[in-house]
Amino acid sequence: MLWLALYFPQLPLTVLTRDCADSDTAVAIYDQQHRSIISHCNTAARQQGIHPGITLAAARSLTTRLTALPRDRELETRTLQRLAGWSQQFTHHVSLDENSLLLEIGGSLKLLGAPAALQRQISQALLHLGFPHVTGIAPTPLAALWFARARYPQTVTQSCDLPKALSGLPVTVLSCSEQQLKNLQGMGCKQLVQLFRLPTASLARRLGSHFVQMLDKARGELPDLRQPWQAPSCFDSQILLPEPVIHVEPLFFLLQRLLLELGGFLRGHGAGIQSLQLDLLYPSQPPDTLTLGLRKPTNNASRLLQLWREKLEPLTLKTAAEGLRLYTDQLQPFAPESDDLLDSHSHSQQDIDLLLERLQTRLGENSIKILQRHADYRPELSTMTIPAAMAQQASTTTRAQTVPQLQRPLWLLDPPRKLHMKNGEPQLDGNLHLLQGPERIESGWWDGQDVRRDYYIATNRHQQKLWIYHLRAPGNLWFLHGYFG
Amino acid sequence: MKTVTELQSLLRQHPHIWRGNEQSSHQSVTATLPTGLPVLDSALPGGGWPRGALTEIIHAHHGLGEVSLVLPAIAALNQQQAPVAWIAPPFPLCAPMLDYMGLALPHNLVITPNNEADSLWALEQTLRHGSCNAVLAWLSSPSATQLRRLQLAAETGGVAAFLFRSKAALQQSSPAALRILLSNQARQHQLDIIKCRGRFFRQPIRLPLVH
Repeated sequence: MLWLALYFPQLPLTVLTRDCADSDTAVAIYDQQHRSIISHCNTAARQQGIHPGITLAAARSLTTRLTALPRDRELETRTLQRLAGWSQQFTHHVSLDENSLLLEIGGSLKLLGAPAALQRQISQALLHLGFPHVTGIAPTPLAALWFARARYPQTVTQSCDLPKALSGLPVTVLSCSEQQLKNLQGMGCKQLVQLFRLPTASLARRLGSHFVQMLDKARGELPDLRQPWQAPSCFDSQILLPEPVIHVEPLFFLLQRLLLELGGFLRGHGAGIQSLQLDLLYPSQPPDTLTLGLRKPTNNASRLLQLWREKLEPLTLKTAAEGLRLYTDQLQPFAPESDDLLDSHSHSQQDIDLLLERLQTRLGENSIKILQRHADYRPELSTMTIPAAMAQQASTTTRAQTVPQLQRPLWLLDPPRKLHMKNGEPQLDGNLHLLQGPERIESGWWDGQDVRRDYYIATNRHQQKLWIYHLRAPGNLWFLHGYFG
Repeated sequence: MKTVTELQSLLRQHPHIWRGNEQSSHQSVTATLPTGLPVLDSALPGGGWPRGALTEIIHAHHGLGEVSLVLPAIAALNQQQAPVAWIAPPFPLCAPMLDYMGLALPHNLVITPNNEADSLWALEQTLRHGSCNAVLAWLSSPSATQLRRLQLAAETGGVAAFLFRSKAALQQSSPAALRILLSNQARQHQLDIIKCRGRFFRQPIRLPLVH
C-alpha cells in the first residue's frame, strides 16, 4: 500500500476565485460564523499586511481595494468531490479528508510508473485544472497527509523508514483540535519525535485515546481503513469568471478546463457519454442551455472541445455571461476502439462518424439525411429521407425484386410545375416533343392523396429530358414533375 | 528502327521526362476513379475521373443527364462500401432512380445546409476530411478564391469532387483539374473539355445517353 496525499491549503480561496488566482487585487475569505475573521487570503492581500486571524474590519482598514468573499463550505465539498471523481482515472481507491484527497497508488504503479513520476503527472494535470496543491507520499494515509502539510520533500515508500521520517515534523501538521494543540505546546512538544518518546498511557489520559490511536495509525502500527469514495453516476461542474464577458472566446478557456475534468471523470468510470449539456450562466437571468448530441459514446475531451467550438463560435451573446456549467447524467459503458497497427490509411466507420458529427453540430440535426425507397407508385411518395443517425440500424437490404424497375428522373420537383399551354400543347421554352409514354399512375385512393396521371418523357429544343404528366381530371392540365439529370 | 525503340523506352523509363500526351508517371494508378463509361475512360487521361481534385461539369439547363454521367462511378464506389456525399442538391432526389442506376442508398449522404456559406463550409470540411471517396456539390456562385480553397481541400483529402455549375462559370477561370461543358446533340451527350490536366482535346467527346 502506498498513499499519495493531495493537500489543497487554499481550497476555500481557489473555489471562489478559480481564474484570477494571479491577479493584483487582494482577495480574502472570511468566516461568517466566527465574527468575520479572515481565514484565507491571496499573496496580493498578504503584501498589504492582511493575514489569517484578523477581523474583516481590520483588513478593510489596511487596504481599500479588498475583495472579501464569504466562505462557501458547500462549494468546497462539491469541488473536492469532483476532484475525487477526476482523480479516479489514476486509481480506483480515493478517499476524502478535510481539504485533501488521499489516493491509494500502490496498485497503479505497474501501469502508471514510479511514485515520483506519477506524482509529477498528477501535479501537472491538477495545475492545468487550476488547483494549487502540495503532495506527499507515504505507506500510511495519515503519514502521507502530514508529509503534504509539512511540505516534506522526500518520498517514503518503506514503512520501516516511516518513524524516522515522521520524527522531524512539527506538531502543527496533526489533525487535532485547537485545545489539544495548545496542550501540546504547553507540554513543550514542538516536534513529533518528542510525542513518540512520551509514555502512551499518560498521553492517552491527557489528550484522549483517539489521539494515541492516530499516532499509531500514522506509524503503521494500527490499520487505518479508509472508505473508497463512490462517485455518483453523473457529472456536474461549473466555473465562474471574476467578471462577466460579452465575447465567446474567454469561455473556451473555461470550457477546456471543464472538459479536462470530464475526461478524467469518464476515464475513471470507464464510461462514455452520448449527450452533454452546457449552461451559459448570466448574472441576473436564467441560464441558456445548449445540448451536444453524439452518434456514439465517447470519452475523448479534445473531440468534445472541437465539437463545442463548432457550436459556440457562431453564437453572439446578448448579455454578458459570467460562467459555464457542464453537466450530464447519462453515462454509458464504453470501451475505446483500438486502431489497426498496420492499416493506417483505411477510413474506418469512426472517421465518417467524426465528420458527420462536426457537420451536424454546425448545420443542425436534420441537415444530413439518407434516402430510402418507399413502396408506393406515387412518385412524390416513393422516396423517404431518414436522418443519418437512424440509418445505422437500417440494414443494406437487397434490391426489392418485386418492384419493377421503371425509368424515373433524378430530380423531382416539389410541387410539380404547371406548364403553359399553346394550341392545346404543353410548352417549356418552346414546343415539347413526347418521346415515351404514356405511363398511367393511378393510386392512393385510401389516404386522400389520390393521383390519376399519365406520365410522358418529353424533350424540348434545348434537348432537356423532362418528365411531365397529364392530369386525367377535367381540363387539359399538364405539369412538369422532374428532370432527367 | 532499333534506335527509335531504344529512344522510346529511354523516354518512358526516365522519371523526369514528361511527354505532352501523358499523365505524369509520378502519380499512382489509383489517382483516377473509373467512370464506368468506356468511351470516357479511354478519352480521359489516367482512365477516369481525377481523384484528389475538382471536376466541374457545366451545363446550361437541368435535365441534360449531367449527374447521370457521374453515377456509374458512384455506383462502383458504393459496391466497395465507400460513402458518397451529396451537398446542397437543387431539387429533391428520386430514390428509385438511384436504385435503378446501381447505387446503394445507405451509403449516400444527402447534406442540405441552410445557406451558401454553410454549403461552402460543409463542402470544404467533407473534402478535407477525406472519408467520403466522392462528393457531388451544387454551389450557386463560388468565387475564384473559394474554388482554390476547395481544390486544395480535395487534394488534402484525396477526394474526387464533382461540382455542377451553370453556364456563367465559363466566364470565370477556375483551378479545377477537369472542366467539361455538357450539351446534348441529336440524342447524344456532347462533352466539350474546356480544361484537362495532361491532355489537349480538339474535338468534343460524343457519348450515348446514359439514362
